[in-house]
Amino acid sequence: MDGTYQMLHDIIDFHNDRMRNLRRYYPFFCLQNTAFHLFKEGKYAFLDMGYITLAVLRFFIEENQFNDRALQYPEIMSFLSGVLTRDFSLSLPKDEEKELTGYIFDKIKNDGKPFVMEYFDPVKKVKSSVRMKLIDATLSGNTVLYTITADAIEFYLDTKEIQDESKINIQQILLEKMIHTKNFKGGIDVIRRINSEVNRLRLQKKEVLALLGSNVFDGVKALEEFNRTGMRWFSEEQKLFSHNMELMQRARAKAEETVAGEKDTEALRGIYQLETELKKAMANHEELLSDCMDLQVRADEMIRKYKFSRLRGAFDFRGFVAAAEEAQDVTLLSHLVEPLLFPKLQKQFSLLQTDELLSLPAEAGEAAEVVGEAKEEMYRFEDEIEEERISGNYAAIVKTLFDELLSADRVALSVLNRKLELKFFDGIFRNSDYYSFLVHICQKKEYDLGQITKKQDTFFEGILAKLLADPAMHKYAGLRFCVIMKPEAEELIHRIAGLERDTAFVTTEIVFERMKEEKAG
Amino acid sequence: MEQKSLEKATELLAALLIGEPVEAHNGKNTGLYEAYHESGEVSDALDLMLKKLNLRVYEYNYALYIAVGEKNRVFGYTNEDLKRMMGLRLNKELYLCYYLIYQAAACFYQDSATYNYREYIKAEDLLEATNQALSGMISELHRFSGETPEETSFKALALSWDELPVVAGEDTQGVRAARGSKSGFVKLVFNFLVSQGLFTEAGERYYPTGRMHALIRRYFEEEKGRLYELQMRSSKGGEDGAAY
Repeated sequence: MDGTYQMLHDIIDFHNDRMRNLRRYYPFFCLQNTAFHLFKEGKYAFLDMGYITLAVLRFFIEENQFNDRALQYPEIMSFLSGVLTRDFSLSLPKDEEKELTGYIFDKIKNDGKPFVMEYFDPVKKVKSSVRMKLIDATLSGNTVLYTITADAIEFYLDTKEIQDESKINIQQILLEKMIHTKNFKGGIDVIRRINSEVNRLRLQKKEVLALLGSNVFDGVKALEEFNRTGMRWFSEEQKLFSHNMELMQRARAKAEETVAGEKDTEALRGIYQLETELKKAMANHEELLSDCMDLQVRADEMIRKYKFSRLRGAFDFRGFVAAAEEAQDVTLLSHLVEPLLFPKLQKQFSLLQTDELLSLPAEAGEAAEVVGEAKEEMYRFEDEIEEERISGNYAAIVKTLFDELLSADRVALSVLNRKLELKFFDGIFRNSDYYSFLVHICQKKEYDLGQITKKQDTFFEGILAKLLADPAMHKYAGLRFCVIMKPEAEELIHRIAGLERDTAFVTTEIVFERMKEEKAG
Repeated sequence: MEQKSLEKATELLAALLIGEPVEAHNGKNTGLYEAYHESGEVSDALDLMLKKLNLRVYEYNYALYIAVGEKNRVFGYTNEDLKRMMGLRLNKELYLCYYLIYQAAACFYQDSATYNYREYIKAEDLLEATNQALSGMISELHRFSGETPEETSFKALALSWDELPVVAGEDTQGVRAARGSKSGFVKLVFNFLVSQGLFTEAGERYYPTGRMHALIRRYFEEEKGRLYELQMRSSKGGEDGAAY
């Protein structure tokens, strides 16, 4: 809360003071901006009114202050024409020159009126104004005498002379005056200004250090400047501080004396406050001094390090850039950057192709895919293939059986097996179709091939009927036989090469017996 | 020379040219690295080819990195190429980017042999470093008005940096890589550096890569004579601030 209050206090209550200080600069900028645009249609717009104004002020200071005499109109005119000829190489006819110099001087004295700067007064909340004259005129007999105003002198000195002095010293002298006049409250303000100046110098010191870190050359320049404007005043400032402290003590002693008689507690309190502030300021100032010593040490260190690094065999980036800066040529930076990049790989196609791309007519539309007439393929399913194989195998076995039956009336399975073995080798006993054939054929006791073509009872008969349709099988038509199962004890063991005895395939004996044909019967 | 060595060297050249990492410990090109390292024929063949193409290869921390030699008209870039790559329009913007790249490198290396032992930098670090480096020139420009500086001068560079706002718009979230602001430029430069394999980004921190270290240490070490000559030629009367 206190901080905010203080800030608002600074903003509002001090605004008028600040404006009064700023008013000194106002005429200069007014003149600088507007002076020549309306004169003779801007013919002399190239003249710099700011320069002329400062020159005129210096001339007035010379004559008024140093030579202690007021100036008359013709003297001013001749000075102005000297400026125009010397600095702007202007040689004009007498009349025109007179007109121009008259115009310039009128502008500088603002036709005798003060320059008025309007601003908002935040305390009274109204528009307020401050005034300022650069040149005053007095009448002496019949001649007008011109003199420079105190404000104008202050403005002129402020542009350079005061900048070069130590602000701390100026404030100290002011403080001395304040103590003499027993204005202790004003003294505290002065000390506050001293403190802010000390703080500014400390800040500047930090900047110098940072600059040294990044660029030694600039840093050294800044350090020199800092030494020139800030540090050279130190001893004088110190002296003034102790002088003021002495003054304070004397003032206190005096006040205390009075206290015994008249009890001037008000003054004593003021002195006490001022003394405390002054002590703080002195401490602050000492810190600044040690900061500056530190700065000097570190700067020396940095410069030494930099010198050292330049002697080493490494490539010094900063030195290279510093040289480029000196030569004011940024293009040199490309030597640092370009080696870091990847090799440039251009992805491009030949120009011939571009040509082709341009000359090739685009097709109107996409051609449809040509679909030829497809032939329907015959599919054979797995079971059909299976069936074909089975009937093929059965045909082979059945043919052997029937041939045997035609030659002998009785055929035992063991005999048939031998025949089959001779025909198809022992591999036949590995064939599952052989066993399924036996199972199928045993489903019925009797077979009449003549009847089978007409009516089939089993799957096996179906196969037989298909076989008999073949003309080569016609010789078996009319064959009749019965299947006689022998007891299970009579086992037939099929020896198959390459298989162990234990794993032999075993069937029971079956006898196929041809029956008498019906015609014969 | 054996056909096989030549083949390996060509393979190695191709891998380096297309920017594939050639490292000893990871990546598919481990074999190529070993071949370069173990076979004199392979390294000789590669060196010969690189020399003829005005390229250089540097070994650093068990990896190989390629760099383009001075004034390479095949693999080098023109200003126009670079502007296109970074999305810039004017030459002075390109020079500003050069300066930012130099500042980014200078955050890690004062010279080619002095590493600052800094792990990473952030965008604001680069912005601050650039402000700092140009502050002298900028304050001089504020104090002494002069005629418009030449496009290729450092004054023009400082002016264009000074005229940029820190951010393009206060209310926008995050910084976009763009030419309208200081931070936009910094981002633009970092994006470019990442694309060139010189930095990697993690959580808005930029870490220099092995490639960056290799090129800064080796390339500039090797080329320092030529660059120093250039430096001497450019500085007026060859004085080069000899006082320090």
